[in-house]
Amino acid sequence: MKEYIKIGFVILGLLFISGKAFPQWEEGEINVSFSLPPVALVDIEPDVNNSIHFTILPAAESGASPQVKQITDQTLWLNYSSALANPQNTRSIVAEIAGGGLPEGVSLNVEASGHKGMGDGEFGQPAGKVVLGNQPMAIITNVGNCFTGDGEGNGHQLTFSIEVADYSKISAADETSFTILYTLSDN
Amino acid sequence: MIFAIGAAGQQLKIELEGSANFDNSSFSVSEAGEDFPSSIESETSFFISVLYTDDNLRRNKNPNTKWNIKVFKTDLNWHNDLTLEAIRTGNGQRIGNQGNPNIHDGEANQLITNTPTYFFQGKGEIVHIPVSFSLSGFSLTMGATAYETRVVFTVYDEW
Repeated sequence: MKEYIKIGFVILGLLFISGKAFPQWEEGEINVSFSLPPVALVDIEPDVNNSIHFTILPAAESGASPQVKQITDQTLWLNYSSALANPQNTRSIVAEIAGGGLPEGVSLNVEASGHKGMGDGEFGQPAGKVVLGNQPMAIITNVGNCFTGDGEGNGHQLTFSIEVADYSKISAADETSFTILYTLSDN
Repeated sequence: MIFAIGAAGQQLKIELEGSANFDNSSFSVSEAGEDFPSSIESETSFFISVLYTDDNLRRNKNPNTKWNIKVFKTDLNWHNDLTLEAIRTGNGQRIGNQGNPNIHDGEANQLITNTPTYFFQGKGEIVHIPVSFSLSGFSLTMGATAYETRVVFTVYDEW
């Protein structure tokens, strides 16, 4: 009998301990969700006073060719931010002459460098030297999810060069200005 | 032979009210070449209430039961670079007893991982404790994607 009483107290103690040893708990939950949107932004740096100037001087002597003053310009940088909905897709940056035109006999070329400076992600690849015209021409291809960094020294440095394509068409003209339009678009 | 079961039942329950939304307009890039902002806060707070499961019995018998809250998340679609943090932005209100709620910790950003982590603690019933979230680590390099996780708050009877 004493043995059974001892066993009973032991069991009682174990039950008491098991009920009190572990803290009780209850849960509540909440969903947290958000969506990163598609992004496509491109601009030229510096964003003010970013005109480039070329001057074609008349021939110094009879029979000589016109002289191009300042053949190249490397002061401008291309910056962009890109996020695509489909990771399999890419984008290109195209450039075209808008709002004006080049004088006859003259061609304007642009070549983008590889990415430089800050930024992260899948930068685009330079398409090489491109002759600018009234139709969009790709200057950077295979742009993925990325950002180049903002400002001069970041992104792709642009080298503009001017060539006399046909001397017979060169004639005296007043100052000519036009705009180059850059577009970041889906492929 | 006498048997008596001395197990203690769950004294406290947790209730969540509200939602945790991030304003989509916060995910914006103001200048070409830049990334998203480094972090954003949830535009709304949600509220945690800690209540007795047996209202009158517990409230009268032991109005100052100690408890603590732990938090973890279960990812549905997530990115390893994302960081989600919770922060307690107020003390809530007491039920029954007058005076300020007895509540501590949680007033600095608490990182939420997939493992339960201590968040804050208190005594007795406290309702409408405001909590908000902070999100960081998102980037344009992740692409245009939707992410979702389930955040779980657990109240423990503190022994």
